[in-house]
Amino acid sequence: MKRSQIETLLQRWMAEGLIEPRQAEAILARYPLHSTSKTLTLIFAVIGVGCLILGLTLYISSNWEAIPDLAKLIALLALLTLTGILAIESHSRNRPTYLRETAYAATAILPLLTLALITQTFHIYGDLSHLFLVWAIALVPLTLLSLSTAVWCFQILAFQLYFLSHQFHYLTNNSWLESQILFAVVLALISQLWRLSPSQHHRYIGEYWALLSGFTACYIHGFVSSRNWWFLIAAVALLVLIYSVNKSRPHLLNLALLFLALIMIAFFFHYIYSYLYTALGFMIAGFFILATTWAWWSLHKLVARKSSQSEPPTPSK
Amino acid sequence: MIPSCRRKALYTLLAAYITSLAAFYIYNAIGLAAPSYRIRAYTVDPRDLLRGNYATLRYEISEMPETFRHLFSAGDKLYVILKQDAEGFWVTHHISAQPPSPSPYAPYIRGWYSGFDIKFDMEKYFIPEDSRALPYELIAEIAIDSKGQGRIKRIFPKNSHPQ
Repeated sequence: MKRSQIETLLQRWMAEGLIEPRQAEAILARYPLHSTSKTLTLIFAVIGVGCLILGLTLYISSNWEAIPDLAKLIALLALLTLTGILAIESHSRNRPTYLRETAYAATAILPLLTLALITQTFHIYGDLSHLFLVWAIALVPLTLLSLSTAVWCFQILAFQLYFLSHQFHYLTNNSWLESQILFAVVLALISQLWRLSPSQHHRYIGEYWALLSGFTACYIHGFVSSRNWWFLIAAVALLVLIYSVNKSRPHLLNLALLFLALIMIAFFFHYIYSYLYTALGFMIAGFFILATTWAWWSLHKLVARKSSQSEPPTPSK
Repeated sequence: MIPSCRRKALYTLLAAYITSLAAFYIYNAIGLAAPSYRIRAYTVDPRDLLRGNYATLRYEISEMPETFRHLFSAGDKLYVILKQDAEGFWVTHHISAQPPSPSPYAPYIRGWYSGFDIKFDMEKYFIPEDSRALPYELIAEIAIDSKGQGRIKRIFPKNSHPQ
């Protein structure tokens, strides 16, 4: 927030009697008049580093075939070492979260790239799902030790890729849906274990991902088989909606509303639209979308109000 | 801030990643030094999303002889015992469910029955992007280690005769 905005806000609070002038001065003292713009410095630094990385990446990729396999392996292992040390050290020294999470993300993805390189070098053809399974298992200790959000996301992605590639090779259409739903249920249950951890983000991400996977699988399956699957999504989404409003969980609220809107629009275009005049069809579709937007806005306000009421009051001196 | 023991555990894990990846590379590099055998092969050309261009190979020894077909069901592991033909290429002599005793005159290669043919997990050959497509008929030089694990050492057109 800019100093001028803070000044306006403080004046309003003083007029309302919320704070004393002495407190306003103390707050303003934290924001000096002529400070160097950190944002501008950061933007230029990011652009500079981005250009360097892009240039280096383009140079390496255009000469990729000419680089000996052993050199590629050594480079990848060196990069893994570097990002690993950066992640651990930035974690232990309380450096900014974005730096730590980026380094952990690179540490999580590099073993997969290295494995892919080795299998390519030696023309080892195993089932692709085995590659993802090895990656997923290798990530488990990193997820538990680092408690990093990025690593947890890659952990879920690795298991999902394993399931998808395994299904692609071995399973039929019906078992594809069953295993996706099983994956979603298991993920949602496992995510509850994060209640033991101080951070609740992991649990929210797991729940969100599980719901997204389950809904997407049912939605796709609804196209190729029975539309009853769409009814199931609508019913579950309604339940999730009620649960998320009662328990003040905005992340689930968004997803449930998104899929409710998707199902309404899908049903509308599949069954109703062809029987209407084009103009009337668009008007009804517009009404549905506006109604969902209104529901999203008002439910969010409700959840925000409930969250602020449930938060304990800040102790005052 | 993370506790010192967790920091040590993270460093140990990082070391384990690097060591196991390097060991996997070395294990396969050593495997290529095993005795090699020339086998007739044929190509088809798809693409692997993660690993780039490759040719799918089908070997002469991939075919399951009729006399052995009833002995195996899909997914069964098996050992193909090889013998040299008059042209000097290695062909199927016998197929066994158990690993045979090692012999330089009757090498064997480990595979599994897909229900249609025999797979050796060396059916993909990754091709550099700028190279020309492989011809249909090929000769594959396969290194086979003492456990019967085969690895592609090199591939060349059938009409060429490299040393």
